[in-house]
This record gives sequence, C-alpha cells and structure tokens, in this order.
Amino acid sequence: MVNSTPAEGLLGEERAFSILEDALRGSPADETELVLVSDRTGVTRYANSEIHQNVWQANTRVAVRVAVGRSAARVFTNSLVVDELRRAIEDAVRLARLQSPNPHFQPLPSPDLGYPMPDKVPPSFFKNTAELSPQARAEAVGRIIDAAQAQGYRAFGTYRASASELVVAAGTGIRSYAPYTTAYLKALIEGPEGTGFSDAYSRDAGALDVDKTAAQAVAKCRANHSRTALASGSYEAIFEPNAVADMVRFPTIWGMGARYVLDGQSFMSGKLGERVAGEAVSIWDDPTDPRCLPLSIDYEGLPARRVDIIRDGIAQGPVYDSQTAREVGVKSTGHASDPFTDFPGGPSADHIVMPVGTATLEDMIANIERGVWVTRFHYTHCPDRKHVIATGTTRDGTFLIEGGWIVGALKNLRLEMGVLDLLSSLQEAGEGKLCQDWWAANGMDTTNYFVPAMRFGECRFTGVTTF
Amino acid sequence: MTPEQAVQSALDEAKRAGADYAEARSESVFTERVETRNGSVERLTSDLDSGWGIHVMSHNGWGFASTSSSQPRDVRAVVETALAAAHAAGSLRTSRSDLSLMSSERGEYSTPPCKDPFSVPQAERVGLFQEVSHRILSAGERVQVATASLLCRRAEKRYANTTGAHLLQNITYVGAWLGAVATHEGYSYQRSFGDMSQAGWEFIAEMDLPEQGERVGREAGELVVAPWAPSGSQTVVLSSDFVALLIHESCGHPTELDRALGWEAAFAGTSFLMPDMLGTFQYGSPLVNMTADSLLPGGLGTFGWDEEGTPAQRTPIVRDGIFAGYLTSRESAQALGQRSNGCGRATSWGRIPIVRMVNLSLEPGVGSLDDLVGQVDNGLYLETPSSWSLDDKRMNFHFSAELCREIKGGKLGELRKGASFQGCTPPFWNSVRGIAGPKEWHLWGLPHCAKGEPLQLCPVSHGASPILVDGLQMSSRE
Repeated sequence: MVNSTPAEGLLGEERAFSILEDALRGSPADETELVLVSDRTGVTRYANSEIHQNVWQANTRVAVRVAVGRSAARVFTNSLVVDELRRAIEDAVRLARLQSPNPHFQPLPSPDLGYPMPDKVPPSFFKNTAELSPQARAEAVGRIIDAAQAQGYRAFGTYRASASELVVAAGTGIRSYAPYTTAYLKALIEGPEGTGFSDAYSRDAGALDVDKTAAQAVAKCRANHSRTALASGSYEAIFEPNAVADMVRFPTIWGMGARYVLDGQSFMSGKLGERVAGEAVSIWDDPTDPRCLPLSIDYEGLPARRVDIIRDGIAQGPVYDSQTAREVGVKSTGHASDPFTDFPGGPSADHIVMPVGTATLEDMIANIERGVWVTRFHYTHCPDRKHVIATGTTRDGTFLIEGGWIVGALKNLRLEMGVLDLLSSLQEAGEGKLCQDWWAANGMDTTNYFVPAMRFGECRFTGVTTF
Repeated sequence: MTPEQAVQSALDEAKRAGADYAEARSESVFTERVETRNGSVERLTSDLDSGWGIHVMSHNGWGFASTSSSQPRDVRAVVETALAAAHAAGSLRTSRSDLSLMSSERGEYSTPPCKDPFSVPQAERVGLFQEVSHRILSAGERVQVATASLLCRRAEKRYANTTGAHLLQNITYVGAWLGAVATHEGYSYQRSFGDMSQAGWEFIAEMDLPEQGERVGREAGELVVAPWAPSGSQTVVLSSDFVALLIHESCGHPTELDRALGWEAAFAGTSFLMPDMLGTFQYGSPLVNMTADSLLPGGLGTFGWDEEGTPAQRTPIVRDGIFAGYLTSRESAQALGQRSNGCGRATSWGRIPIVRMVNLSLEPGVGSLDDLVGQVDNGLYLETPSSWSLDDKRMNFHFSAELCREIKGGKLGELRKGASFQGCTPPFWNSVRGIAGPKEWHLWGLPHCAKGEPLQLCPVSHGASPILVDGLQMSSRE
C-alpha cells in the first residue's frame, strides 16, 4: 500500500505477520516458507551540476517456498492480496509435485537450525532515513554542486535512501521481522584535467557528512592533473578503503560461502585450518557489527552471526545457510542470500570486516620510497576464481609517491594479480570506513565492508589507460 | 484496478495536478525458471512481477514514481510523489526539455508467432534440463558440478502519455544456460554455454542442449588439466560468442550517448567517443561495420517502440571503420540536435528509460571460421568470455577466455586454459583483418546488461561472426 509519504508505506511487523499467517493457514505443502521484502527507495542522480534523474519506487515482493515429500519449489509474486498469496502457495505445490524425489533435498529451515538471537542487536532502521524527502536529497546535492562550482568544477553523483522490511514466516515456526534503512551519497567532481571522488554510506542518513564528502572529492579533483604514465610492474601501494573493498570482493563472493567451498571452487576448499594468506590477513563477516550495515536476520529468518573466515592467514571456514548447514551437519550461521536474485549462489558473506590500524594516510605515504596511491577501481573482474585473481583499472585519483611524498598524478592503471597475494603483502593499516565495492555501490550486489586504508608491499600493475 | 485503468488514472491525475507532461507505463512480467544441478532440480520457480509508474515534467524537472500496488486509492499518492520529485529536480536543473518531441504513436507489437514456451508441459521442461545436467556430469570424470537452466518469460507492456500515445507490447523470451565445473589436484575450471532469444520453444529445441551439454562437460574436464595459455603478442581468431561480448563492451557502451554526455559518469562511466569525433574517427579497420537494429527478428532488443514511444529502427554505428552514430534516447538526442533513434529502454515498471543497447551487431564478412584459422600459421583461437573489465571510458580492456586452442599451420591444435588479453579499443578494432561470412554469423542474447541507478539489467543481443585479429597482447597465469 502506498501512502502520502514513503515513510508511511511500510507494513510494520503486526500487519506483515497477519498477512503472511493468513496465507500460510491451510497450506497443502508439507512445509511452507514465506519471505516478504518491502522496499521504498528514492534515488536522486545528478550530472553536469544538475539533477537529471529523480525517481521513487514502492515494491513489495513475496517469495513462497514449499517442500512436498523430497521436492521443493518457489513462486514469487508482488501481490499482497491473501487469496493471491494462497494461489502462489498452491502453484508452488504444483511445481514441487512435478518433480521426482530429489536425493539432495534438505528440509526447510526451522528455528533450531540457527544460533540464538543475541540479547542486543544494533539498530538497522532510522526514521529520518525512511522519511528523507526528494527536497532533502536535492538540498544535499545542491551543497555538493556549490562546492564544485566554487572551484569551477562540475559535480556528478547519486543520493539514494531506502526503507525496507524483511519478514519471514514459515510453518516450521520461524517468525522473523527486521526493518532497515540505507542511505548512500556519492560525489564525483570533474575539473578541466581530471576527476575526484568521495562517498558516504550508512543506515542513518543523518550520519552522512555531505560537506565532508564534497570537500574530499573536490580536493582529490584539484590534485588530479598533469597525469603521467607509469610503466607496468610491481610497486608499493596505498589503497583507500573503497579500493580495498574492490579487491576483497573476489575472495568474498567466490570463496566465502559454503556452497563454493563444498563444490571445490573456493580458495578455501580442502584447506580449512591451513594457511591461505600471510599472517597479517584476517577477514570475518559480522552482520551484527554496527560499523557495517547491520541486519539481525538472514533471508531464511535465522539469526545472523559473526563468522571468522580467515584469521592470521589461516582459513577458518565459510558462512552457511540452512541447506549447506544441513549438508555438513552444522548450524546455519544466518547467511542465506536474497531469494529474489537472478544469480543464486548459496550462502553469502555480505558484512565483511578487516582489522583497522593506527596509521594515517600521511604516515603511509611517508613510509613509501616509490609507490602508487589508489582511490578506487572501476569495473573489476575475476579471471580466475580459484586463485582469486583480480583485475580492474584505477579511477578518480591515482598518484605517484616518491621519497615519502606525493609527486604527481598518474594516468589510470590496470591491476592484475592474486588478491590473497596482495593482502599478504600488507604493511600497515589505517582507520576503517564503511564502504562498498564498485559492483555493490552500483546496485549489482549487496556486500558491504568495514575495511581500512592499507599499505601494501607489492602491487602488480600490468597496463595503463590513455587518460 | 487493471493496468489500463492505473495508467489512465495516473495520467488524468498528473494533468489535474498541473504537470506539463506525463507518461505512464504498466508492466506485468511472468517468468518460469528451471534450474538443475547434477541431475536434480535445484530451483523450480514461477514469478509474476506487476506494477506501474508515472514520469512527469513539472517546474522544469523530471520526476518518476512507481508502485506494485493495484489499489485505486494509491494513484494520487504516487502521482504526488512523482511531482514532488520533479519539483526537487527542477530546483537544480537549467537544461530545458523540448516537449514538442513527445511521442504520439499508437499501436501494438507482439513477438512473431512461435511455439508458446509456456504451452510446453513443465514436467517436460524439467525432464529435459535434468537430462542435460546428467549429460554434462557424465561427460568427464573430473566434472564436479553440472548446471542447466531454462528461462521462459512473457512481458506485457502498456505505455500512454499526455500527448496521445498509446502502445501495447507483448514480448516472449526464452533462454538456456549450461555450466560445468571440473576439478583436478585442487584446481577448478569452468566451461559454459548459453543463449537467449525473443522466440518460442523452437529456439530451445534448436539449441540441441543434450549434445551441447556433453561438449561443455567434456571440455571442462579437458581444460582443467590443459597447459596454461601463452603470453605475448599473438595472432588470434575470436569465436562468434566472444566477438558478441567485445561488441557489447567496447562498441555498445562507448556509443551510448548518455555516457558521452556525462550522465553516467558516477556509475557506468563516460566514453572515449565524443560528439566531435562523429563521422571522422577511425574506430576500426575498413572491414568493421556495426549496426544497431531493433527490428531484427529474435533479438532481445527487438520491439515495436522503446519505453519513450519511439519506433524501432536501424542506425549505423560504425561504417567502414568510421564512428558513425550514437545510441540515443529522447533527451540525449536533443543535446546533439537529433531525434531519438529508439534506444530509450526501461527494464521494468519501476524504472525510467535510459540509453540502452538494442541489437548491436558486427556485419558479416566473407568465408568461414576455417578460412580465418587457415590464415594463421602460429596463433590462438579463443572461445567464450570468462571475465571482462574495462576502464571508465571504455578504452583499456582486459578479457579472459574459457577455451583456448593453439593454431599451428592453419589448423586448430591443443587446448590451453586461462587465456587472457589486454588492449585498447581503437587499436583492437583497427587490427581486425578478417571477418567470417553470414553462415558463421549468430545473434547472441545477453540477458543482463547492467546500467542505471536504481540498477536496470537489460536484455540485449549482438550478432557476430568470428574475427581474425593481429597483435593481441596475451598474458599468462602460469
């Protein structure tokens, strides 16, 4: 239902459960699970210092999953009419009955398959974010444009704010409700010779520092001129947190979920308890860490908990959903992925954390004899998932460091190397930042990261762009 | 409330509220999927996604709002939300839109008659894809994971605006994808095959999936133990499916006019192809001709009208190697003093049209794949992209191939794995010295071109024949 403002459009816990329980009643399936995701999202995009796209969407989707005997099926709908939900359940039952018994079938999750919900979970819903109006987004964008125009530059970017609720009700007894909000602001500033970038991300729109974001992007743009080409080769490098996230993305999506580990495709397959990276490397997933985008449950309604993936370079284990947990005989860690995605890949680690350090960017620069400072990457990819090879080009500020000083801007470089090798060369880390990799920042993924800026001893660049 | 009622009520409400212009769209998309893994059903799904949205111009700003609700009482609230967005946008917009360019088209379009994929019993579809994944799995002892999936989709679209346009479109898609993961001594390697078309079940039948499955499984098992591909400068023959993605990434995206205008700078990026290069820039060798064609039968970018009401059409993009045209939408074309060439596409009821590829194809040359291979004394043959990465102007690129074969003395030879190459777009297309003929040309359907915020995953197609390229810089993972 749409009301006069986006904030009023959410269902709320009581009404959501009322609808789902009505639909569940009398289900002909052996087991029935309903997952409801309701979103209200406003997006303001600006380019060439004016708003060119300003959109809002209200959508409520329901994923019906049923089990009949040893077969399962799903039906999706975005109708909340109870009779239509019941029809969706019946359709799912019909689909399940089409199949022969599945030898790999696992029952739908029940509450005892998950760990207990922690006594205290960090807030994931902020009313001011849910109620952020188009005018408020435009006002913030106007301040960024003003900051750019004061320098004779142009501003480009996005301000997105959404309010959502995840509701799970199942015949196995699961009843879970989690409302959450997300606010994301990015600023790309273009000057006569180059660009600069900064962004901010939070559950709480009030925590986004618009003026700081603008100032950082303007400063980076100001420094990004007279770029020279750097020869391909291995260099010391400083990666800002966004660039770190761009690299950590690949071991995360192709290696940290139990499905890839069980199938032999992960860098951890067959190596649990063994060294997979240098001692300096620790990575964990923690949906309850307030420094990430916390969310207390997963898409099966089970409590989400911290999972150590790599500790001091040693592989600890993947994250699990109910299916993979039952296959292995462990509890689900609460990492079932979005059932609505076109790209199901089993459980996913969406809240990546790495240890922060005490080094400032100035410290890191001073400690480099000859190296490269990377702001972020564009359109990264993974040519070899097993070896976790990453490639991508830098953008919006790449700088040469010599003798402990930044001596100039560089044309964008192409990185191509093993991510675990890169991370293993970690020399020091700075303060952390909540950020997304390039794919997630552009809506193609949901992973968020709390990672620091890092200084690496060896980073392999294999090419250079023309700008 | 029916979709027709929602669209008309929203337009009436927008006019009553004083909008200078409004266009409304409704869509109802029904999708059925079969996904099998190692012979068992992994996911069997049915999805009905319906909703409507309204795009308004008011106070010199554009605003859009959309909802999945079909309740009449929500129409006013959604229109008010769109107007509030337009007013906010107008407060920070100096550009002007020419409202005289709005569509007044009326008509209907449907996918040409075909065997309705939804008429094929679901049990038959499930059985076929279980068999295919069995075939993949049994094709080699090293294959650990075998997947086969089917998508059948029907989209019913309705468009109307305040200048009299009224359009109905009914489009049917089918697609199938196969995958194999083989493992050996702790390493794993993927091989895949897939295609999608605006067509009926006959397209799936013609794919000969059981045989393709055996090939995919066999090649995965052979590739995982094959030697690594070599590095250095090589003469290379690229398969039709590989060329399709090269067209997409290195011609399709840089010729999207919104990128050249900076509208996608903060996400997808911009372009090295600027308007002052039109008609003069040597994009490729004289053999290279590329055409955007939304009239092409079977294309995922084929329709009657785009989501701005502009009719489907053909546009030369590269002619005899010269950069000849952009892909444009209504607003972007105005910036060049042109009319839209019908590339304003939206991927759902909840998204606005932005510049998208339609069916962008490399026109065929002469001869066969064997003829191209026969011209190479010492080189490589690459098939099926496995990774792709380009800079934010679409100049520097890096691609990897699932399959690589040596070419020795004009003949295909041993398999190699992990082939990757890096280059820059204009030098690459200028190094094309052979394009195979019409018999080798195939229209490949790519279901997930990502662009826009909120994200829009748009289905597009690319026709291509194999090509012969000199001096490709390969990198080795050995």
